[in-house]
Amino acid sequence: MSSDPLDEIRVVFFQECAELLEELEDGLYAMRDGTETDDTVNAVFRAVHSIKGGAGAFGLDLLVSVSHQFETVLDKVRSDQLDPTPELLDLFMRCADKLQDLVQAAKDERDADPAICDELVAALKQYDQPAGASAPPQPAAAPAADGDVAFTVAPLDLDFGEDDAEPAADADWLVTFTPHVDLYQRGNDCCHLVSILIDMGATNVGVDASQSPVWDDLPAETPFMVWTLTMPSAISEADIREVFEFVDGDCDLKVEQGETPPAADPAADDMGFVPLKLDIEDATDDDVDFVPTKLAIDVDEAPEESTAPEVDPAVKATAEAVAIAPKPESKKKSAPAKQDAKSEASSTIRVDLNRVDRLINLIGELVINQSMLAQGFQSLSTPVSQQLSDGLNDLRQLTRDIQDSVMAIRAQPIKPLFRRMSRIVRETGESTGKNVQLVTEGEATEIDKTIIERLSDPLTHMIRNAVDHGLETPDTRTENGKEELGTVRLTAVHRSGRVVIEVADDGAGINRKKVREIAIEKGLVAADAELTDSEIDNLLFMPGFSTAKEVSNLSGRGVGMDVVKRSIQNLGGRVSLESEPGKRSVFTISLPLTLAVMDGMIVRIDDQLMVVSLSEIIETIRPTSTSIQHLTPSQSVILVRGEYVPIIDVGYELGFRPRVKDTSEAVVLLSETESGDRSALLVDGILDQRQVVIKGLEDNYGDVPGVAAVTILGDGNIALILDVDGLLRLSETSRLSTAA
Amino acid sequence: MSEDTDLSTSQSVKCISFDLGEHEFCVDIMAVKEIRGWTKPTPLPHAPPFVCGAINLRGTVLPIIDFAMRMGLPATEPDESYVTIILEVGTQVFGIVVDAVSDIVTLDWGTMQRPPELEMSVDESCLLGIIARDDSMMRVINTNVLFPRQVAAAA
Repeated sequence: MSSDPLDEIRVVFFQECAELLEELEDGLYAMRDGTETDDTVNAVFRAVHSIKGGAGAFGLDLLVSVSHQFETVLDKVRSDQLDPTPELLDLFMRCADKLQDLVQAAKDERDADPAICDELVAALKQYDQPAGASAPPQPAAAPAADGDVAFTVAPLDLDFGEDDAEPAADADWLVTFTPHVDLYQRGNDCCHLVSILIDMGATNVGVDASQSPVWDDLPAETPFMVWTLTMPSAISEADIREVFEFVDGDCDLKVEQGETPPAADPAADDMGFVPLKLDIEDATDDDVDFVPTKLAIDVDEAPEESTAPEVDPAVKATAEAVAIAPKPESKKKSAPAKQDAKSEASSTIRVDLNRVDRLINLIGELVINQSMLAQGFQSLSTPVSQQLSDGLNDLRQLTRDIQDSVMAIRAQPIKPLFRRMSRIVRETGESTGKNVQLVTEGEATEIDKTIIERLSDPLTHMIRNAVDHGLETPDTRTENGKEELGTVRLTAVHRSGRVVIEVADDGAGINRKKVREIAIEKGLVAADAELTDSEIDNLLFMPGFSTAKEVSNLSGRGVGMDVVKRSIQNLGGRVSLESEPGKRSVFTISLPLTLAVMDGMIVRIDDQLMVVSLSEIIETIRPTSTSIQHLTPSQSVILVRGEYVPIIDVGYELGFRPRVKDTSEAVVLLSETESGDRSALLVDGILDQRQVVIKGLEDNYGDVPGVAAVTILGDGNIALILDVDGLLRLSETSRLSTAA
Repeated sequence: MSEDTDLSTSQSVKCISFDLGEHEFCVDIMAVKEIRGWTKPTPLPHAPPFVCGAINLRGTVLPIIDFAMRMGLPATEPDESYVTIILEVGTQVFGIVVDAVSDIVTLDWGTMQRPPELEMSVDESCLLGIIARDDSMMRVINTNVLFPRQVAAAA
């Protein structure tokens, strides 16, 4: 269990992966939409790179091989060797999708299908080739294909060195590298860094050991030496700096273009440099086996380092040093980027959801307690002093503010959900041969985390429907004088305390004639029923209704719009449909901001107060003496505008009292059940309409038929929240048993 | 046989004792979360007859059991003088209504005997056993079976 430290690291890895994947998608979208900044490509690259690093640590070979190839091509885009064409971006998107799949598969500990990965890797390699072919073969590049992280990392840096050759500079680079204590403490080693530079072609390596104390006093943990290397001018500054990327902040690094090689540099002599002649060939042979391995470890640590909370002065120092350097472009891009990443990291914290929920529960208690207190003072016989009533008012205000703020913690922007939908659009479009774009609006709209999670399935279904059934084929669209590119628009907006999400397509709209025919054919409506346009549209939500002649494997996965409707209702939401033939169809989902509270109608049944969710009530009716008809002793109906609606006697179904005979004082709540049927709840009176805090009954008791949950009223008593569908089932069972 | 019914171990256990009519019962103090005055519970539909309903204990919704009825004795007609003992068994929290809490007693679990089969008035399944104390008989409640989780579903 959690005693295994690796499991904890795994959890962190997957959390980070989720964030990185999101960052990756954001970046790719920005690149597609042309809203990218200088840092976008770098951010995308970093995301893929970090995923690869983590994946390597967990031995997720497939993930490593895809992300490695992905990264290599991204790197070419980053260094302006490749143009991010729409085709390439499309490939990137598919790669991002695949990475997501692979991460998910790894999380579920499933085996992923390598076939698609191979395909993607092959597609990526095509982009890699032109530049790759011109590069001289690298000793470590060959084993890269086997997916071993130890080797896959190596060609990145080495390739980079060769591919990036910038001819402009003539003077050699003089690299001065002064390690700090931290460098060793973070498990890095100067030796390896120097070895890499030697592999890249360092012509001269010097070390200044003048600061070293005598051998006896030498603390092994502290570096004292200053390294000086001469690098050929053919290597770009960025490449040299890249070698030190993982020790950024843990060392002083100077990369300058010297007029003369350091061996002849009088300054170097003055400083006491000891020229060190190293046989480059030997070094390569000896080190090539372990250098990449070390590098792999560095890669693993990279994400941690880049999110270190404090902005290290060294970053600033690097940026300054760069300003005077001859080739500053690429470094200028990444230096501010790092600082951005750092400030972002410090502005959010990761908190266990349980802690937040506990806080929310406590605030719920506070709210109830506050209202009990207020009620208690109201019932006092002696008048309350001004001071006390002011205090009570302040308490109420504060409680409300605290509640709002705490609820805001659970609220999350809907963006990740929308991003997932763009993938659905892409995939559905591909498999139906339709040309679709998804336009999203209001991604920043915030809504309860649980609602976002539980909205994913119904929304996926609706999006698939919109693409599969809503949009016409490209040919039909052209014939009808429309743009070939279909548009699905996904919008979210806050409206009067609820979140409204719209799924709109600019397709053919609802074929009402056909819908009506099918509904009649399937016996869902009477053949002579007079239906308004919107009533016909909403037939789509009836169970057992599907307009597609053949069940396609896309939207028709055994679930219909009725399931969508039910899952949204379970979230306390409503869904409706509008359509304009030939132009568009719009599904509108209206959701509560949170699942912890809901708008309820407080009703009285016998001497008990109960709550019915407002979202389930269509209208309330005070029946006249003639509108209720008793069909049988156990079945009554009420006439609502020409339609007979069965009555559910709530008090009786819950077993609190015998059936009500005299309905003259009763009130009927007209409600629509999940099957689309209407039913009428018979209650004794309506008291109030207010927000109630939802409490589960399952923890300490269990499910109660006909009761969805309970709430605590202002007086501290418990009121049952009725489950309309459950009551309907109860009434059907009781009717059958009476009949039998 | 579960551990709870293993009578061989000898150990001192602190118990809260309470009266119900002329009977004396006790419950392991470790299972007792708190003791509070009686409040009128909200009736739960389709509940077993011994479930009085649910109350709000600082935001937690708890079912309340009429202990006498659970034991097979006539139902109590509780008023403000009655007491609710809140028990925590596993992850489940519920309350039992009793006449009054009388004492905290230390009992030797080792002297526990199986309830005699002749005591017809009490539902034996809810007792762990009985312990003789002075000249009275202490009935030890088996909290595990007092309110099975499935009780609501089974009803």
